[in-house]
This record gives sequence, C-alpha cells and structure tokens, in this order.
Amino acid sequence: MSSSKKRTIFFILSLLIVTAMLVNACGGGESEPAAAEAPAEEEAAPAAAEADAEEDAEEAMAEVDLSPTEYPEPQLIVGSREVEKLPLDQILTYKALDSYNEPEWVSELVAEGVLPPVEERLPVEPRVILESGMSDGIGVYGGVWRDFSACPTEGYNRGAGQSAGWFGIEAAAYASLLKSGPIYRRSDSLEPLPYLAKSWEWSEDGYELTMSILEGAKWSDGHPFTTEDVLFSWEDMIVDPNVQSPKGASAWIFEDQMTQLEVIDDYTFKFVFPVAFPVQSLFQMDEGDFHISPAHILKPLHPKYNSEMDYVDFEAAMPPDKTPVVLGEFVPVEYITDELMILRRNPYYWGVDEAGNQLPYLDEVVFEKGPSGVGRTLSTLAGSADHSNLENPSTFIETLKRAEEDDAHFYVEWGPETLGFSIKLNLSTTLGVKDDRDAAVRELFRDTRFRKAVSFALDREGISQSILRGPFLRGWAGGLFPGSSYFDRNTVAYYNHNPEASAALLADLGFEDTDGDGILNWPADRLASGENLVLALVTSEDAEETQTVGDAAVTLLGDLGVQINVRPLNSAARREMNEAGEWEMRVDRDSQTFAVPFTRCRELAPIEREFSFHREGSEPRELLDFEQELVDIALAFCIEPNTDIRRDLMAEYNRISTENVHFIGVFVGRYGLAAAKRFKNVPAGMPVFMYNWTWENVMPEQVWVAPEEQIEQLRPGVIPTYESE
Amino acid sequence: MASSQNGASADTTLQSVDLEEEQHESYFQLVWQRFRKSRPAIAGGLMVLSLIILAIFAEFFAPVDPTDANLQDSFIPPTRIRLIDAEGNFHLRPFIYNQVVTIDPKTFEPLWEDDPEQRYDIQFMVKSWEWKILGLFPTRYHLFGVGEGGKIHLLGTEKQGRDLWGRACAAGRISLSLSLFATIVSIVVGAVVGIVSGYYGGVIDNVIQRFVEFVASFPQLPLWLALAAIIPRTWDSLQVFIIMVIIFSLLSWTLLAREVRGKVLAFRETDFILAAKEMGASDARIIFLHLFPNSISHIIVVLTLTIPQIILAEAFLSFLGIGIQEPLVSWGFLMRDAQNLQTLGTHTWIMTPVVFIIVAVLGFNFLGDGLRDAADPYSIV
Repeated sequence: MSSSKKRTIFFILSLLIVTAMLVNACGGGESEPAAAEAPAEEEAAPAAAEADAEEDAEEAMAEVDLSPTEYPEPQLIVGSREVEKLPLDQILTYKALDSYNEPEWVSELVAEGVLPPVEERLPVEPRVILESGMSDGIGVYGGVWRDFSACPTEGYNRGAGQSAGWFGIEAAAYASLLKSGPIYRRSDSLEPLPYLAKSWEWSEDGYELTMSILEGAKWSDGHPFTTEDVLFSWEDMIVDPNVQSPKGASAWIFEDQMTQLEVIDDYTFKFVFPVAFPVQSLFQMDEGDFHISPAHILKPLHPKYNSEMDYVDFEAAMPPDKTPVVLGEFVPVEYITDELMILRRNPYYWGVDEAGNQLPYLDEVVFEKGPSGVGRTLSTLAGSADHSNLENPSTFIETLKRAEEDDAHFYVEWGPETLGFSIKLNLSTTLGVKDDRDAAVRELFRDTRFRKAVSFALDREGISQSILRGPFLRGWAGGLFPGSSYFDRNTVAYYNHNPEASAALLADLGFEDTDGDGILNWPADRLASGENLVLALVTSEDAEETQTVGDAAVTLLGDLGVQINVRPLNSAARREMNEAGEWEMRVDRDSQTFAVPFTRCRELAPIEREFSFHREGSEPRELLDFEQELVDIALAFCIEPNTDIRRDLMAEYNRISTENVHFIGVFVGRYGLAAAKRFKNVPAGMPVFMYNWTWENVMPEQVWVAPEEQIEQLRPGVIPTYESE
Repeated sequence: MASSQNGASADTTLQSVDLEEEQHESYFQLVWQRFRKSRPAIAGGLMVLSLIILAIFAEFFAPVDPTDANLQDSFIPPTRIRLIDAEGNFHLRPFIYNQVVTIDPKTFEPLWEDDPEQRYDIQFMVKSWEWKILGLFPTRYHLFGVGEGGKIHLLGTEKQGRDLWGRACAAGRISLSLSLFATIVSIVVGAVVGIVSGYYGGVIDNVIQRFVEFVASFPQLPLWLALAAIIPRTWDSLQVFIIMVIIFSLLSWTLLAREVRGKVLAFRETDFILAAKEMGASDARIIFLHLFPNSISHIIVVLTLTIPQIILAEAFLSFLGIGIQEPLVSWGFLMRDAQNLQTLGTHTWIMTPVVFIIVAVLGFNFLGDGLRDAADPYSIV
C-alpha cells in the first residue's frame, strides 16, 4: 500500500474516531420523558393533537393520586440526649451572696494590689448560676478551652460592625442585655434569658418596657457599667445611620415610627414603642443584635463628640492588636494575625456560682486561626481543638469513627433536626425578568401545580442517602424544621417522591414533548410557546450538599423531561444574583428562621421587600393569595405574647406553607456537637444551633475541667491589662 | 511535492544515507520507523488508544448502564471478583457476590459485605440493557456482565448510585474530545498566525507578536471565574462544553504561534522559498503548500503535548465546579466528588477516575516525546 493511501486511511480513521466521540459525547437525549406521550403524528391536525393531549392529561390527572402523604416520625439516633428543661429560677438568679471566691492566682494579684478584692469587682447582686441547673455541679478553677476560628479578626468594635473572628470569640468576649442561646433549656417560657439586664417589665398598655441592669457591674478595665453605656450603644451606634451596627435602626421601626430609649437612672432605662407589646423585640436585645459598647472608651472617639474623628477611624477604634475593654467572660489578650488568639478570664466578670465562686471556671480560651471552617472539625479529630460544630454531613461518619476510638478526647452528640436544605423558586414577576421566556418561567413558578410537580419529582430519601448513608438525614417537606418546638407533624402536607404525579401535573400544565427530543416543550398558550422546558438551578460552591441536591435534581427532573442547567456559584456571586433577582431556582441551606421562628418572625413570609425568594424590584410585588395569608400569620405571630396562640399560628403557617409548597424542602438532618470529654457542665442535649450557636448555648462561664484533666495554659497568670491614660 | 519538501528541508546528500532506499520512503514512513523503536512512545500510544476505545464504546465495556441513577444504591464499594467461594472451593469461572449493607450501630458507618447467598457468575458477551454503537446502531451486547439480579461495579458506585467504571469510561468522551477539539482549534489558529507573522515580517509581524503577548498575558483563572458567573442561565452543559473548547483554544494558541513564527523566519530565506517566489508563486501557495507542511512535524508534537495540558485544565476547572456540569460527565467532574473528608475516609473508590487522568496525561506525554524524537528523522542520533 502506498504511503499516500496509508495516510488517507489514517486520516479517515482519525476523523471517524473524533466524530464517534462527539456523537457519543453529545448523544444524551435517549431518555424519554415520563410525562410525554408519543409525539402526535405529523399528519394529524394540530388542534386535534392538542385536544388529545388535553384529554390525556385529564385522564392522567384522574388516575394519579395527587394527595400528600403522611410525614413520617423521625428515626431515633444514638447519641442524642433529651434536653433537661428547667424553669429559669432553677437555672440562674441575681442575688448577693455572703462571700465570694476567686482563683488563687487571682487572689495573689489582689494581694499585690494589681486588682481590687473580688467583692469590689462584683456587682451588688451578681448573676448566680444555680447548682440545680448544672449537669455536673459546682466546678473548680483552671483549665483551657482550645477552639478554632476560620474568620479574620478585624477588630473589637462590634457595635460598628467589626468582626472579632466569630466561631465563639464574640460569644466569649462580649455581653448583651439579654441572652437567647440558652432558651432551649427553659421549660417556663420561650423568652430570652436575663443577662446584663436582670429584669424587665411591660407597662399595662404594652407601649413601655422598663429594664433594670446589673448594679455595680464593671467593664474588664474596672470602669463601671451603667445606662450611659446602654444609651451610647443605642443613640450613637444602633440609631446612628453612619455606624454599621449589627442590627440597625430599621429593626426598631414599627408602623413607620421609631422606638425610643429613655434613661431613668444609672441602672434603669425604658423603651417606648409605637405599638403595644412588641414582644419579639426582646430578641433584638440579645447577643449579636444589641451590642453594648464601652461608652468611656468609644464616646471620646465617636465623630459626634470628636471633630477630629471620622466614621472610618471610629470603626477601627478598637484594633485587634490592642486588648479590648469588654463585658464577657473572657478577654482577648493576645492576637497573632491569622495564627492564634488567646483570651484570658475577665477578673471583672459579673457572674458567680451558688458557692460564691466568681465565674468563669476556665482560665484561658485559645482560638487557632485557619482558612476554612472544616479546619475546626479536622483540628478536633487531630486532638488540637476541644470543640467542633458538625454542620457538614460529609464529616459526620469520620468524626464518629474517631470519637469511637479508645484514645479519642471528644464525644459526639446530636441535636434536633434543624439542618435543612431546600429548593427555592423565584416567585417575583418582575425582578430580574428580561424577556418573555423569563416572564413565562416566573408565571410557571407561581403556579402551585408546578411547585408540586417539582416536589413530587424529588426522591428525598434517595438524596439523603446519596449525601450520607445512615439515619442522619431524611426527607423534609419545607415549612418549619421538624426539630422546631413549634413543629407539628400533622400540619405537614408532604408531596414526596411520586414521578407519576409529577408527570401528570406537568401534563396538566400543558407541557408535552412535541419535538421528540426527550425534553418537554412549553404549551402554545404560554409566552415561551414551543421552547424546551429548560430551567436554571444555582447551587453553592461553598456547600457541597447543595451541589449534590442540584445534581440529583438534574437527573430526577430530567427523567420527567425537565432540563435543569445546574451551576455552582460562590457566595459573592450568589448574593449579587439574589439582589438582582436574576435567578430561577436555587438550592439553599436554610436559616434558623424555620427552627426558632419567633426570633426571626419577619423572615417567615414576604413581609420585607427584600424577602429571600420573592424580592421586590422597582415595581410593586404581586403576592400570591397564600403568600398574603402567610404574611398575615407572621405579622400576628410577631406581636403575640401568648405562647399557646403563637403555637396555633405556627401550625396554621406550616399547613399553608407546605400545602402550597411555598418552597420545596429536600432533606433535613441534625447538627452534631463534638466536645471534649473533659468539659463538665455542658448541658445535656445542647443543640449546636438553635436560638444561637454552641458558644452562646453552653454558657461557657459554667464549664469546668477536673484538675487532673486540665491541660497546660499558654499564658498562665495573665490577666487583661490596659495602659493608663 | 513531497520530494521537493524533503529535498529542501535538509541537505540530505551530505549524509551517509542509502539514497536508493530513501527515495522509496516517505517522510511519514521515516517518522514511523523511528517512532516504533521508542517503547515508551508505543506504550503511550497504546494507553491513549485504549482510553479512546473505552470512551467510544463505554457502554460495551460497562456491565451496568452508567446513566441509570438509583439514589438508594449510592456509594457501593467496588465489587470483588472471586474465584474461590465462601466455602473455600475454587471455581474456574470468575464470579461475584452481591453486596449487602449494614450500619455500624456506633459510628453509623455503612459496612458492605458480600452475601454468599447471592452468587452470580461473570459472563462474557452478555445481552442486557440496550445501547447504541456510535449513538446510531442499537445493540444489547456487553463485554461482560452478570445474570439478572446481580450487581457488578468494578469501581463501585458514586453518589447517585451510578456505576463509576462506566461513567469513568464515558467521561473520556468529554475529556478527550474537549482537549482534542480545543487543541486542534488552537493549532490551526496558532499555526496560521505564526506562519503569517513569520512570513510577512515587518509591521505585520510586530503587530501580531504584540497581540500574541497580549493574549498570552491574559490571566486564565479569573477569566473562568467570570465566565462561570456570566454564562446565560439557559445554556445547557453542551453549550458550556463548546464555549470551554473555544476559550481553551483561544488561550492556548499563542505558544505555538511563537514557535511556528521562529521556524518560518528560518525557512523564509531558504532556497526553496526564494525559488518559489521567483517562479511567481502566490503568498497563499507558499504558506499553505511550502511553509505549513514543513512545520507540520513541529505542530504534531505541540498537538500531542497540548492535549494533556488541556485535559488537566479541564479536570482542574471541573474539580472547582466551574467546568462541565450534570448531565455531562468528564474525568474532572468525577473528581469533584472526591474533595471531601468522607471520600478520603470512607468512599476511597470515588478517587479512582484519577487513574484515567493519569493514564491519559502520561500516554499523551509519552506519545508526544516519541513523536518529537521521531519528527525529525533526518537528524543524526
């Protein structure tokens, strides 16, 4: 054979291979939609075909059971303990005790004249943690809590929006008027616990709330804490629009009127509200929302009182390399950028136990710094951290395997089912709509039949198992989390996996595969007439589970003839996309709104213009009927003081939300707590995330470690010190 | 024409070569003679060929439909192929046991065990699920398989319960074709630009070279990240695939353009080009019939070495989640599932598609090295 012939054959062969690969690579259209009947014969009159299709759809609808199924009971999971719920008066009180104690090494500092005696450092009536509320009783001094933070420390001016590094640093160092974290322990009420504010009282008409704060409490530099600090934090931080406080003035506006704060004396002040009994406002006085800033430090630096300062300088007024003046149990005394933060006991902390021991029991907290949150779990597995929140299912089994080893220093405990993932459909008719197709997609999303079709398409148990085998995860209908105290299984309309029902609903909506390519086509009477039913689904690069849900949706909806284009985006791109409304479907990890609805009642329904998946653009929003019902319920819920009525309102909310498939729940699981075995007084069954995260829930001041189990402190004998002015 | 090229490409008359034999052997024959002496190159060629065959006929080699998702069958470990049964008896015909799962009561770790009650012989050329040869001709034959009820997964299953072996084979279609197309486009662009730049010289050369520098200095990862955000949401995976091909090719042609320009600058002053010019040949004729064929050996080498780079780039991007998406599948996309603690600790088989990437990259590199050595058959070893 001549060389030219050989070359020709080689060329043809190569071409054939490349063509074959391309044909194979792109030939994914073999799957036939269950919804579609065989394409109508070309010769048949289109009208007749349409009529046939309608009849088929009606027949399919008549034959298929579209009713919801019963939502199952949760599986019992080993490693979950019941929370021991107590009335507040068995957890803590405020009273003067006969005598007070402190660690020996602190007494030595008192003897040296570095600190005043403990009686002088404590308030008149300190906050007393009662033994009846301690799972391991009164503790001993000493010990270290080693933890991990994956966020940079900007500074300590929290009231101006600066982050100290999260992961518990804020919880350890700062204090607020009230505390929501430990509500899960209360049997008497779902109100936040008193903290700096030791009591409060509503006026008869419900327009005024008078609060009393601790008398004689001191900042970590020994300066008295008074209502001047509260007033400064209110007027010059929260209300000042130039200060980026964690929760700004808008949270305190009711019926377009601003709440007022009036100081009565050094230890008493009152809120004057524009509406009666806005009880939900108590949740805006808790940790993270109403940050108490040190007026004696920050007031002289505030631009309102210091013409040489601007707001940028003011925000940076408490830099990370300078020991901050705080009110929390621990004070950051040393920070090595992106490496380590050391917090030492606050000698002025205003809490004691029943025996008069000044709290906290622990002397030191160390936060190792790292680039990502999973580092906390890895550090715990490796033995260099004492605590991790298990919030990423892909780490569950590995953590449990390590915990079962003989030399493991930590145990694992599972909380209630409040870790949920869902698919949201954009219900806005205008925001982000650019053409007829977009408009048609939004109209489709607003049709309950379509949302039900998507819900029926999802094999929730399969998705749960594909993320993590075992009993950790299970299907979720949407609405409230099963782990919420307001959850009632009987109020759930569960449209679980039923491809026939999904196909029948799609057919009823007029979708049919008219061109035989395996993808349904839009019906003639819709704006996107004739086009393939192609929908975009956004997942999160940062949350692997959202990608698994997205990939499963591609397969499960693809089987029904709905083409899903899935795209993972990073958090910044997702945020921009959400704000512009330029998204169709997205997979979310849901917030605690559905676990503790009362704390975030305005996020339950599209009350705010910026509501998560029905955002208002330049044109007014068109709420669906059931959305308006949800709004009405949520608004009533926000100001309802009676717990029983609140429960009824949430039952109704859950029924309407799930019956109308407001959003499509996919799966729900439990957060896990990995905590050092040597820690005592960690409340049984403590959730990692409920009203707040672990550090707020555990009440770290009461955690102690037996002397023989205490590990070496990095900075023994150190207390926070401040340069005298 | 071939003789004129050969004659022009080197002063072969000075070498101690058997002239009579040389006249009967074309350039490609000489290349092949030299290529086949290189064992790594042959091995590389076979590796690449194997992957291509596995990719084209993935369904034939897959005993289970790789597109058949069953979420309840997620993360089944690779099936153990046995010759000795649970009682210790030897069997000539290999067989498998179906696997059953129990959950560890303490760690909740799924524990998969072979169930001796469910034994299935492995059969060859079995008839089971239907597939289409080259997407055209339906057939039910597969290289191997087990009887109905048996589940054989050579590399286990992934999160949606799909057979990883079949998916890894099929993933080669995207990974190989994407790299091949992107390389071919970049070669065409690079070669044409390089030849034009080198041949015309002067201002044209100057302008083209500055443009080449501009393109070469483009930061690729930010471009990808930006593209991931702005690709229209109605584009499906195939369109994303095509845009990936275009972007890869448009970003990778610059090196070749530089190299070809250098070659052409050298050729430009040689006698055969000057002679062609004197005889009145057009620029197009000189470029496409003289300069291009003389650069082809170099181009082929660049082609084989660019392919593995693009395979790795695609794997990298898909691993990051900004490349190929469901329902398409590439090797990099398969590796995306391997980036968590669960895979490292419990589902280690999810990492096996990396072997395909390694084989492909090594194969193309061996092949490229062999071709580079063989491409200039007139050089003295």
